[in-house]
Amino acid sequence: MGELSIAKHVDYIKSLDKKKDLETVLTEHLRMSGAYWGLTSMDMMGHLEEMDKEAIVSWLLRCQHESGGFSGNIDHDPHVLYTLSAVQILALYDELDVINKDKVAAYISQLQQEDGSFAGDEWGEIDTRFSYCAICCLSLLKRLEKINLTKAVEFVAACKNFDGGFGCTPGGESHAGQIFCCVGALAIGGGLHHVDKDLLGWWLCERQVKSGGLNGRPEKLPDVCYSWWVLSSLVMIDRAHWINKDKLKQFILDCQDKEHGGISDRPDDAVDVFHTYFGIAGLSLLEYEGLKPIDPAYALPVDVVDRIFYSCEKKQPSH
Amino acid sequence: MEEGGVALLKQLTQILSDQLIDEVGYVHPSQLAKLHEGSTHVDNAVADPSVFWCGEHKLAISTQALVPLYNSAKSSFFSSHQTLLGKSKHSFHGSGINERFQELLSLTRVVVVLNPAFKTAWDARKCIFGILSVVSPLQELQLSSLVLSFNPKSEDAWAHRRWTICSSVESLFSHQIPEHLLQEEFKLVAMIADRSRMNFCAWRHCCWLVQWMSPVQMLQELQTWKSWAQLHVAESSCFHFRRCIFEKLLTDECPLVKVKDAWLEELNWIKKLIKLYIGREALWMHQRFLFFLWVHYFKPTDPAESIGHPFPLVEISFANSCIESCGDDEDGQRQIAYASTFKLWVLWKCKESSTWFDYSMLKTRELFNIEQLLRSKAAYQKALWEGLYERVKARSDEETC
Repeated sequence: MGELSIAKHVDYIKSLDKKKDLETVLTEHLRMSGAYWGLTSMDMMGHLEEMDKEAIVSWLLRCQHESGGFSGNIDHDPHVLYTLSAVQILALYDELDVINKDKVAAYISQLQQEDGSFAGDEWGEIDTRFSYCAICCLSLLKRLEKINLTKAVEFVAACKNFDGGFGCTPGGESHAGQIFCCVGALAIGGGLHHVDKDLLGWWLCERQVKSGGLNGRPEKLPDVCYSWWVLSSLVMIDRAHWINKDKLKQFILDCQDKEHGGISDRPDDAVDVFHTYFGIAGLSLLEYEGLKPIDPAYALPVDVVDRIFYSCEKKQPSH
Repeated sequence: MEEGGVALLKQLTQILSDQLIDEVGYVHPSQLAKLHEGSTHVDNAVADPSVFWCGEHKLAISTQALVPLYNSAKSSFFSSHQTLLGKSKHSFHGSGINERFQELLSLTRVVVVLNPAFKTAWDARKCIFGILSVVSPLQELQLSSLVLSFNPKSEDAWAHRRWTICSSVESLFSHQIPEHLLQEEFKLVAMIADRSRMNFCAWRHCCWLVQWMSPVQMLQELQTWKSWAQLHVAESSCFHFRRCIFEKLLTDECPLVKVKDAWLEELNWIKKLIKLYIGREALWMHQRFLFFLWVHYFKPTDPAESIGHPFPLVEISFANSCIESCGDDEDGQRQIAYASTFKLWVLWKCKESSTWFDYSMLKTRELFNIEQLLRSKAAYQKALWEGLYERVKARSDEETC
């Protein structure tokens, strides 16, 4: 079995900010999430300190709006997706105190609707992905009491399908990415009893195809990102032992660009930071040696989550 | 900002002012040259032929010009956006304000055509729509369709569509979606789903439309989409759309007997497809759903009604007949694995609903058989099958205790 080329992946992530190709230009609007994927990967590989923390945090703060929400980049409109990414980045850096938490919490809580669901921004698109962002973000900020959590959990539960999976709204098709969001939201919000663990575990494990990779829906090709969406969900519902871990590990390792670093969706495709993060995160859940363990619900390294919830000591002021 | 980009942006803005353009494509410069050679008439004479081709309301843009064009469009958009909609926006009563909003609208058109994921530009349109009411729903739907013509999975284009319909349903159509609009939407999805397979967003749109449909319309759509589904048996999302309709019918005021008829028809149809197209996961998933419906809605309340032919046994025999008639090629192996899993599903669901059904009899007869088949035909999933097998056994042991 090949190995994870950590040094190459570190170089690849460090090179990303200098790129000016079309793909980079066209994805500037989601730079906040890109930064979260890259930085979390670096932290899992033990190289976070090689990134320019000061520059990142000051750029990040420029993406915050009057409303308290964050946008994907400067000048863009705020959205709950990027608000979560920003909070996750600050959590990685142990800098959650640089923002006004109440203001961020106020932005998120005003996105909650009558039925408990969340809009992504002021334009009202509803999706359980946004429920996850809201619940995860508020939990990291220790502000869950700012929303109606009971209703939020009930809405997610109402998106459950006959196959045990979850969709983006009630009646929506089961999709592994959506399932991660729903199970994550329920795990953080204390609603995992709504999940039929055996049934969902069954559906999720059927996502594994012969090559060892996982797909996100029936009949689809495998894709490295589902290594994370499926596996993290299985860990949260305690069914990860139903999957063929060796084959999955092999599939992820086969998707590396061993020459230039980075991980792609499938073997021999072009790499990107999204799949690099999900590949490394998947391997971390598979307890790959040399990687920090990642928390399946918060999608942050376990030590970062522990620091937030279990450390009573206040950070020492820096000099 | 590069000079070239500014000139190109001007040209593209002018080209896109033609609201009838219904298709955009990004092409290699050599393909662009071929387009020019092959056409006698071009729609737009001022446009740089090394960057644009425009004919019969179709637009081709050279991939080489994308970066300068996009950078130029983006900075013009942001500067106009900042002035008109930003924090320090001017009063909306200033002179020439309408023209300036129109200008911003044109820029958003260019930006989303160059980069459909640029949500801030889509939302600027919504914002202006709210302030001026100058944007017609038709125009917004057309823009969304235009973007979907080259980026059929653009989440923002689909979301903009939903937003447009929602705002018009409230104001124009008194909370009902007119039949012709519904049919237009389905037509668009069918066209896009034909070209872009496994398009989650397109099918999500169909499921989203279901909320406005009457039971009659729903039953009608079940019929209409049959022929499409038959030609695309791997499209799990299309079958999910059907499931979405069934679930809605069962919560609406539709007589149960009508839904049961549709269910029976669906059951016979799907079994025919399963026999015809060997080893298709999407079909077997749908078959699982239909059995689920039986357990929850159509199971006879009086056990005496189905003595002789209990439905679960009919389904088990169907799966067995599929297994027996399969070859040992890859499709056949998959069919055997799906049929065996389906049998497990039947046992699971019967047990779960703790029906009158004589579960223990079936269990001893089938379980061993299922496990053997799954282990041999889908050996790489051994851990799953063992896990499920343990759960079924544990569940039935609970029962006998």
